[in-house]
Amino acid sequence: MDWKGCSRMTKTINFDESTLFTNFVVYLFAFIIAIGTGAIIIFAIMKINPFSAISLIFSFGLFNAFGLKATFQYMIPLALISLGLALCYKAKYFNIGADGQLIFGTIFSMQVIFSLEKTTHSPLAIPLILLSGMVGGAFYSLIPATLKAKFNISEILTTLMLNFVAIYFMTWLVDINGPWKDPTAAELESYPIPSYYYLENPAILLSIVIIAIIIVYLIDTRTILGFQIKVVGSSQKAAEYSGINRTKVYILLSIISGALAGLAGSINLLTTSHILSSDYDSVYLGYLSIFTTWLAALNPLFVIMSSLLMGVMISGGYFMASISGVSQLFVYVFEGLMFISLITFKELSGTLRRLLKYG
Amino acid sequence: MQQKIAVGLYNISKRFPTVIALDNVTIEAYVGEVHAILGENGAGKTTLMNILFGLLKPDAGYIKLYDEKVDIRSPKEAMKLGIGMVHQHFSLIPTLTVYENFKIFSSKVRVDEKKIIELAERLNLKIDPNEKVSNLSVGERQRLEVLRLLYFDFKILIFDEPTSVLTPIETANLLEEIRTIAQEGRTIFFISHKLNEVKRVSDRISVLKKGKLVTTDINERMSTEYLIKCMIDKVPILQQKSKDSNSSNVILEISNLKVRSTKGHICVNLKPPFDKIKIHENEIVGLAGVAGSGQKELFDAIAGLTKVLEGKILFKGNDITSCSVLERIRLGIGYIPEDRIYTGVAPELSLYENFMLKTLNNDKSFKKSVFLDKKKLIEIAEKLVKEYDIKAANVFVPIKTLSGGNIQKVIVAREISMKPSLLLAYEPTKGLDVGATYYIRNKLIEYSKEHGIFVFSEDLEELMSISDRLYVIHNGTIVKEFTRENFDEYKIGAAMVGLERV
Amino acid sequence: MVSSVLDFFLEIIKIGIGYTTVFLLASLGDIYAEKSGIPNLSLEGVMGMGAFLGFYFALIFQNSYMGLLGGILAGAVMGVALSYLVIDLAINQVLAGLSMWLVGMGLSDFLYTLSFSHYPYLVTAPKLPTYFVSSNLIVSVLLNHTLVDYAAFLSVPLLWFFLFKTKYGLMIIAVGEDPKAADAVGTNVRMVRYATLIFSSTMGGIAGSLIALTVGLYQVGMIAGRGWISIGIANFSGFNPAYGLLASLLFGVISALGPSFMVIGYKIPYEFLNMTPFLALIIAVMIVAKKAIFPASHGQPYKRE
Repeated sequence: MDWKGCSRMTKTINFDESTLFTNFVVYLFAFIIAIGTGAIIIFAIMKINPFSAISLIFSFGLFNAFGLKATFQYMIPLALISLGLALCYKAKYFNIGADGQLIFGTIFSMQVIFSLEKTTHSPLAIPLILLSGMVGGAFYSLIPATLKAKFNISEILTTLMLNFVAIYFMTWLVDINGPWKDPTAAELESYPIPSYYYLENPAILLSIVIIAIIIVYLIDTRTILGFQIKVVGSSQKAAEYSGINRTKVYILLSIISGALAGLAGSINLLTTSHILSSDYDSVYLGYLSIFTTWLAALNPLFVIMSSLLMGVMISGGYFMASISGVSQLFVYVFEGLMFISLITFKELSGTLRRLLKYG
Repeated sequence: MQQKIAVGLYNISKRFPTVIALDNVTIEAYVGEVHAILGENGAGKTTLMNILFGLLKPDAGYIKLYDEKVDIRSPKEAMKLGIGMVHQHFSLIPTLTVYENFKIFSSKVRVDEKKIIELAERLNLKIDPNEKVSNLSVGERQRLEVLRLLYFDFKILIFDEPTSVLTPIETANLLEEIRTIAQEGRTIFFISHKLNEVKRVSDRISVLKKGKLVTTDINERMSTEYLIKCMIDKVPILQQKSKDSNSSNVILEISNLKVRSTKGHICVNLKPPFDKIKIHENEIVGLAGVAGSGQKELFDAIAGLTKVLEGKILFKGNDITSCSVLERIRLGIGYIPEDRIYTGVAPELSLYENFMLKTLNNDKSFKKSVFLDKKKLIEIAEKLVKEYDIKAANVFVPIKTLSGGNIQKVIVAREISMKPSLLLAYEPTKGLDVGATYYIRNKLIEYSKEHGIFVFSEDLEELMSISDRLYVIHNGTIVKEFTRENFDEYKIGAAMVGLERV
Repeated sequence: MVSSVLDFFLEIIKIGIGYTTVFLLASLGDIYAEKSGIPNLSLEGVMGMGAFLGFYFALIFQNSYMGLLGGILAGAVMGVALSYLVIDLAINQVLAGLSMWLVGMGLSDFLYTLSFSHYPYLVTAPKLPTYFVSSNLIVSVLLNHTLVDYAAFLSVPLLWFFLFKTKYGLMIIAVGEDPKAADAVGTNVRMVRYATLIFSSTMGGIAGSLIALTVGLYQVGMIAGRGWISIGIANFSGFNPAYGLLASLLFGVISALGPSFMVIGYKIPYEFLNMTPFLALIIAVMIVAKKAIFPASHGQPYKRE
C-alpha cells in the first residue's frame, strides 16, 4: 500500500516558480482557509462572529487611521527583514536571528543618536543613524556566519542562541542599574530620542523599502551572486563541484540580511518606539518575518504584499484583543495557527493537484 | 515431470508520471529454479521486482504465490510471505554491527550468533558478528545480505543487479552460490543486464524491453545473438580507437599522492613502483578497481574537491596541488562526477542554468556589467540540447524532471563544451540505457583525439573498449599498468583484488 | 546563609540539579527524535504548553501529580500535530517548529492571562513534593529531590539500553541512518518516526510542566529558551543518552549560576548570567564540532512511491 499523504519526491522547500498562476490561486485559497481558521478561533475564545471578526480586522487595519498607521509600522520592518531572509532561505541558510540583528541595529542607532546629540542636527543625521543600524545588524549577523564557516555549526542553533543573548543585553542596557536607563522614567526604558530624529514620513519609508526590494530583486535574478545562492540552496555538493565558495556566499548573505534587519530596527526606533525599552514590542518581528518570507514564496517582489497582509493581521489582531479585553499575546497564537493552516493547506492542495492529474 | 509454480506475476502494469514502466507483463517461476529477468537499463526489471517485494503497487495485474493469489502491500508483508531481496544498494546499516543488522530483521528477540557463523562458513565466508558493517568490503557486505536471507530461511529470493560491484572472481563465487541455494528448493529471480552472467547462472530467462515482455524460455534454447536482438533494437557501434599519433605531451602527472578519507584513514597512497600516474594529451586512460579502492578520492583530489595529504599534482607542468576547485576549472580540468543528481547538477535549477553551472564563475562574456546576460545563456543551452539530442520539454524545466540518461548527457555536454584539456569521467555510463551509453562512449573517444581523458568504470568491458592504457588500483595503490595490446580481463581482475603484484 | 565556599558550590549544584531535570527530560526526548532523523524543533512551544497545562491541572485538581498528567497531555497532543505536519505532509521542520513555538508560547501565556490576570492575588498551585529533607548539605544535594527528578535520572540507563541494545532501538537508529534500507528490510519508517516524535514531545511536555510545578507558579515566558537549549544539548551530546545526562548536568549548573549569584548579592548583572547557558551552548558545540556526527538522514523527509 502506498503511503497516505503525498506521493511526490522528497522536498523540504517546495516553490514551483514555473506555474506562477496556479501558485497564486493555491495561496489565495490557503489564505482564505487560514483566515477562516483564525476567525473561528476568535469566535471560540472571544465570542465574536467570525465574519464580523474578519471584517473588523481588515477594516481596522486598512481603513482606520490608527489601524492603518499601525499596519504600516509593522509592514515596513517586516518587509525589510523578509527581503534579506528571502535570499538566505533560497540558499538554505536558515538565519533565524533577525530578532537579535534587529536589536543590535537599534542599539547601534541609539548609540549614534546619543553621540550626535551634542552636535547640531544636520540632514545627514538620519541617514547616518540608519546606516549605523545596518552596521549593527550586519555585525551581529556575521558572528553566526563565521562560526558556520570555521566550525560548521548549524546557523539555526547559533542565530537562535544569539537572539536570546541580544534580548538580555538590551534588557541590561535599560535595567535599573544599566547605562542607558532614564532615571526619570517609571518603566525600564532609556531616554527617548529627540523629536527631530523622528521619521514619520510614509513616503520616505516606502521609498526605502522599494529601493531595498529593487536591489534584492536585482541581486536575486541578475547577478552571479543570485545564481550562486540558488545553486547552494539546491545542492551543497553541486555548489562545491562548480567552484562556488559557499563560505563567501554565506558571509555575503549574512551581511545583507543582517544589514536589512538592523535597518528595520533603526527605522522602528525612529518611527514607532522612539525609545529603547525592556518591554520590547517589536520582539518576535524577526520570527514573524520568517512567515512573511515564506508567504511571499521567497520572492522579493511579493514580500511587500505578504508584509502588508501580516501587518493588517497584527494590527487588526491587537485591535480585536483590546476590544474584547483579551491579552495581546493572542496575536501570536493567531499568527502561528494561521501559518500552520496555510502551509498545511498548501501541502494538501499539492497532493490534490497531483491526484487529480494522475488519477 | 510437472514443475510447481512458486511465483506468478500476471498482467502487471505500472506507469509513472513521465513513462510507462511496465506494460502487461506476465512471468512465472518454478520452485528450485533460477529465473533471470534480462533487459537493458530502463527496461522495467527493477520496477517489476519492486512490485513483487511490496515497494511499489501495480496499476494493474495480480500476483500468485504457490497458486494462491496474494496482495503484497509492503516489504514487511513480502518478507512474511517468504520473499527476500538482495538490493542493488544494500539494505545493511553501516553504523551497526552484523549482529545488530540481523536483529532489526528478526521478529524474535534472540538472534543466534553461532548459527550466523555456521551458515557463513558454509558459504566460505568468515564473519565476526560483532564487526561493524562499515568495516566490511563491498563483496563481503553483499554476501552478508545473502546470508541474512538464508538465516531467516526465505524461500523466494530476488537478486537485483548483484554483480555490478563485484570483481570477476567474486562474481563467479556468487553465481555458484546462487545455483547451490536454488537446488535447496528455493526460487531465485536474477535481475541483470549482463548477458554472459545470465547465461551462466539461470535455468530460464525472461527478456524485458521498454516495459514489455519479449520472451520467456529455457536458457539452453536461446543463443546470445538471439537474446541481444530481444533486448535492444539496433546494436550501436563503437568508434574504433585510432592507433596513430600518440602525443608525448603530458597533461597530468600525479606523484606520490596520499589522500585521507573522511573516516580518517589513508585511502589513496601512490608508492613505487607505480608512484606516478601520467596522462597524455590525446589518450584515454582507464582506471580499474574494486569499489572502495580509493578511486573516488583520487578523482576528487585531482578535481580539487579533496585535500591532498602528501604528493604533487602537475597539470601542464604547473603544480596545482593547492589550487582551489575554481582555479582548476579555469585551468582546464573537467569532471563528470559519480553522483549525477546532487553533485553534477543542481537538481532544482533549470536546464539552461545547469549548462552554465561552471561557466558563470569564469566566463566574463556572460556578464553585462554586474548583471547576467540571460538571453545568451538560453541560446547556448538550446544549441547544446539540439546537438546532444537531449530529451526535454524546453530549457526551462527543472533538470530533475529529466531521466538519468538525459541528465548525464547534460553533464557531458557541459563539460565537453568547456573544452577542458583534461576530462575526468567517473562511471560516465552507469545505469544508462544502451543508446545513451554508446553515445557517451563515442563522444569520449571523439574528444580524446585532442585532449586527455581519465576514466573510471566498474564495467571492465567498457574500460577495455575505450581506453588506450589502464591503471589498476587496489587498496589505494596503483598495482599494475596495462597498455591496449596486453588488455586481459582476468589479469586485470586479479590485479583488482591484489592477487598480482609486480 | 552560606558559611563557606564549599557550601556555596553545593548550593549551586543543588539548584542546578533542579534545572538539570528539565534539560534532561527534554533532551532525552529530542535525542530519540533526532536519532530517527527528525529533530523536534517545537520543544520550546511544547514546554510552554506543558507548563501551563501542568499548572492548570495541578490547580484544579489540587494535586501536583495531576499537573504532570497535564504536561503529558500537552506534549502528546502537540507531538501528534507536529508528526503529522512534518512526516506526512513533509513540511519544512524549521517552519513547523517555529510555528508551533509561537502557537505554544502564545497559547500558554494567553490562556494564563485569560484565566488568571483578573485575580487580585498571585495564583499558586500545589508544588511537587521533595523527599529526604536534611540539613546536611551533601545529603540534600544528592537526595532532596522530587520523584520526577529520580525518575528522570533513572530513565537514562533505561533509555540508553533501549536505544542501543534492543531491536526497536536499533530500528530507530536504522531509520535515522538510512530510511530506504530500513524500509527495505520491513521497518515501518513512518511509525517509527511518529513514535519517536510523539515520545519527544511528551517528554518535553513533562519537562515544561516541571518548570511550573517545582515552584507552583506560572509566569509568562518562564520557559526562557530552555527548549532550544535542550535541543542544543541533544546535539552536543552526540545523541547519546549517557552524554546527554552529563551535558544536562553541566547546563543545569551553568543555569544555576544566575540565581546563586543573586542570592549572595554578587554584583554581576543578572542579564549576563542569564546569557551564560546560551553562550555556553555555542561554545560547547564549537568544541565538538569537528566530531559531530548526525544520523545520515537528518532533516530529510522520506517518501515511498
